[in-house]
Amino acid sequence: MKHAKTLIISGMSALAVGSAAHLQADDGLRVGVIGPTTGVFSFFGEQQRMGVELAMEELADRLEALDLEVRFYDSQGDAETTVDRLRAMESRDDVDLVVGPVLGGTGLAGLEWAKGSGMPMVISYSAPEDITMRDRAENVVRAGWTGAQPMFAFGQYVAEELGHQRIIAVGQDYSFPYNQLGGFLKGFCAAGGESVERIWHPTGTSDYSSILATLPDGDAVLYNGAGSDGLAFFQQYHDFGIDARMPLLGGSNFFAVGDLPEMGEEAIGGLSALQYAEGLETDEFVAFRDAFWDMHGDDVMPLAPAEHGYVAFKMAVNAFESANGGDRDALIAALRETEMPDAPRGPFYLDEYGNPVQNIYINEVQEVDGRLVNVPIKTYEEVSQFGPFDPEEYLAGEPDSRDFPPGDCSDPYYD
Amino acid sequence: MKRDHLIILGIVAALVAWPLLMGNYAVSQANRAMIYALAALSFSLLAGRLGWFSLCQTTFAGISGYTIAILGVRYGLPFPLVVTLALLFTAVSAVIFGLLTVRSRQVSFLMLTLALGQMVWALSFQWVDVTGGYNGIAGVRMPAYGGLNLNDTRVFYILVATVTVAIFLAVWRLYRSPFGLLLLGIQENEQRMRALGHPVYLARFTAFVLAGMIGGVAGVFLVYDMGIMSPSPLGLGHAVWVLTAAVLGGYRTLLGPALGVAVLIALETLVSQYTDRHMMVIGLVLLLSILLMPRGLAEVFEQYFKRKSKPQASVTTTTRGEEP
Amino acid sequence: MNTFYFLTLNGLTMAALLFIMASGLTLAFGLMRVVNLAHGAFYLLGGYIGVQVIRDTGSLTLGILAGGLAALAGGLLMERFLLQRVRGMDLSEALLTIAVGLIIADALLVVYGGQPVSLPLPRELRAPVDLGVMMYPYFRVLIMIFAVLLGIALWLVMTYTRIGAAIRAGVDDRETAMAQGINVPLLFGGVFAVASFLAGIAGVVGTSYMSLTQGLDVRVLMLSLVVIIIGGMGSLKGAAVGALITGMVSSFATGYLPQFALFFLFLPMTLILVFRPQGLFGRTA
Repeated sequence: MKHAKTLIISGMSALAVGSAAHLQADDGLRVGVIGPTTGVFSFFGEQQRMGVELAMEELADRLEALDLEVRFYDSQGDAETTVDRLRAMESRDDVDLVVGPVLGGTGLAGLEWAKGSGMPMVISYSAPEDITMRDRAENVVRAGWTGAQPMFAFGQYVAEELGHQRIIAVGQDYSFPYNQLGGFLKGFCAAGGESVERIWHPTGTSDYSSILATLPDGDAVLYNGAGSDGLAFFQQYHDFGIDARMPLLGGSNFFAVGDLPEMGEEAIGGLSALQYAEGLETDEFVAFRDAFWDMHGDDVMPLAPAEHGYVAFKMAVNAFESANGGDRDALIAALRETEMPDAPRGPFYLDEYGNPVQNIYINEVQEVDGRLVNVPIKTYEEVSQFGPFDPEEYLAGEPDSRDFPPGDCSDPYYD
Repeated sequence: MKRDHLIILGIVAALVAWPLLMGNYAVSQANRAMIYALAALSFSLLAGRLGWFSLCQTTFAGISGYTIAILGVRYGLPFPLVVTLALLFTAVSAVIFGLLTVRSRQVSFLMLTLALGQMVWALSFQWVDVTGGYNGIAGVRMPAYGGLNLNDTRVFYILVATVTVAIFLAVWRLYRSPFGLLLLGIQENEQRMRALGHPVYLARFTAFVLAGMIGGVAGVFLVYDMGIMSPSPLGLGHAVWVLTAAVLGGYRTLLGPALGVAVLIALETLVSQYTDRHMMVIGLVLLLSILLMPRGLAEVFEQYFKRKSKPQASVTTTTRGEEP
Repeated sequence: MNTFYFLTLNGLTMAALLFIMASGLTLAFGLMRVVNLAHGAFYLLGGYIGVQVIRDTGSLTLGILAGGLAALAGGLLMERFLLQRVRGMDLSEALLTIAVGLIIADALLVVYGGQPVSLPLPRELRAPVDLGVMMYPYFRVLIMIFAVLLGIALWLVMTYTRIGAAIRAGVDDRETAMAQGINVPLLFGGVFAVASFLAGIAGVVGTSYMSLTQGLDVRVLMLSLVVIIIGGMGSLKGAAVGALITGMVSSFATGYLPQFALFFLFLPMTLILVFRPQGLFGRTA
């Protein structure tokens, strides 16, 4: 027992020394990739990691020429942890550029930190629109999207091509679904829709039976949400036979492939909109997908977070080459000029606010080669985060919230 | 010099030396450590003196943080007012929670604080209009006074260190005061204390509110450190983390909580470079602490140093190891 | 009126699941004064194993059993190797269960990943059944029947068997029970095993409409705690009533005021805490 105590004490001293030890700070370049690889959203973090790893392999020669190294960090899906890791990246690990974060909350926390630090950051999947709008920072750009970006087109499509006039929108009660619905409403009303009734539920609701019991009548139901909430809603929607009354449309993440196997055959025909589709048949995409399968096995489908991580990393490497090194100002300037004509999802370039202007696909769930995937059935090209709007006009307007924009298309706001 | 004073001097010296010797990240880690040390102290006050294990101390930190974020960022109120209101609001919450829990017994208390804490957590991410939900409220910054930017890591460090040391000293005095002894007495034999005429419920209630206030102070620093207030500090994971740190370090002593926090942060930093399994590590640390070192590391150190120095009879030392 | 029936039925289904979830927890607490905070983790464990077995064998019954047994194994191991060592120290026991819960939940994340997992139910069970007033999914009706049967079974055991009498004796007065020759430690182990088994079964059954994800263990634990705080710790009748109140309130609140649903879920618990802290059927001090 005496020795146990001595062991504990020496163990602790070793711990103290070990944790204070710095990573070897050398002259090489370093990229820090941060994402939620543990916690509730670990699926997204894993996808990003896999995408980046694929990019690392493809660009191995260029990485060597640049003497560039990559380190992965776990944000745990937590804002506090994200900030702590970012600090470690900057002070302890000599990172020159950050790829990520992935989630909404951590993205905002990352933005806040980046403003104070000045570190170049390429946000991969995180979607709050203010990151490249009202709260934007010079050193932060995005390789992904905003919540509203795919939905302007979707709203238009639903009104014009599907002919739905009244939509019942059920969604998770927080800003990403608000943003998605905001974009949808603007596109929908402009294209001749009549009204959208909103029902918000707290995140983490598992039992939708009561919501479904009191669901009003309409032409279709649009569900804004994903993950286990989305899956539960989908299943219960069918369990209670509502699908016989009204078709179910999905917000951008709803028919995310990870949940499709769980949803099963009943998901076939489901419509949603995103800047990405696993069912794309372009050369660039097929090459990406096949290489991804070679590396990670073909039972993992690359989804948007993987592609966005892949592309974000490539953007970073391009920037390092343009800037000829790690000088921050040069990197930031190079990043802001980014054009990616060969990205797997389709060509895009960054607008002057740092967000991609890209294709938006209306996706339909189909069975391809024994798998359920989202296949694009219509493409809208060069859609920016402002949709059909003028940026200054959009920014001057009110941000999307629970009750804004108005649900009635005849409201004067829409003129 | 008395041993106690030597220890205090040593700690202050280390605190002063740290920012002078170490890099930025290490200083920011120290900030986090001090903030959580306050949270752990808040936990230990109840656990050590009353035998009450609370899972809602981080909740108070969260309430304080949200008040600051909402009033400071949304309504733009000035810094001193915002902090005062935050502490006030935390006190009110502590009073309410205290009234709800003052008559429970040990295990019920644990469950109640768990339930109350979870309720506030759920509120924080569902009351989106007020708290911003999952995304939280960003842009929480300290002001710059006369050229001194309080957001700078090292300046912030000085502020946090000063307040933390002051609070620890205050609690030390509390532990040795009649009130502190009363709390220990209540833990030992509540009936007897009541029979002797002591206001048991009032004492417990006061201790609970005091602990909550300390949690509130931790919350103030937490939100300014992170720059953003989100629901996650109010979650069960953080409450368990604080509990684990306090158990690891020894919640019956004054410095135990600080020690536990330091070790746990160091451990996490080390482990996170090799694996993602941090939650499992916390679980294992908690498990091993309970089974092998129920009195925590502070006790281990205590005995180690006792063997090296001459045995002394000290009036302030009780079998509960209440001295620092 | 259709809506009203619908919401009532939903409330009953939810109450059924809550009862299955909470019954084990309240028994364990009542007898052993152990609040098993790993309860949610056992739920998850049972759920994941159950789903795996159903996927592999196609049998729902086998899956439910497997889930229950997995959780039972976990509970037994925890009780034998860990709780035994801190027997009598209530808080250390509670803390131990927290630690075990963390470890189990993280291990499950490693093995099964972060994507939500739902129960593969055969078509016939998902299909709506005509209840005269409306169409309602068959399996939800089954859950209600199951809960009622479980409740009856537990009640019969507690009231009419020797073991039940022994448990009740142990709950009321541990020392006297031991003095009477009842092997209380063995009883403890047994009850704890059954409690864990119930948690595991709840895990499989509940996954039919709450998919398994990270963080679910905390939610399940919280819901179970709400139920037993309302009902009174250690009381089966309390668990049933608490489950009923919670389920109905939750259902109607979600139906008419979805934004405040969670608040209403916690409201009954808070009222009980203020006016009757020992719960509706709990013992005072």
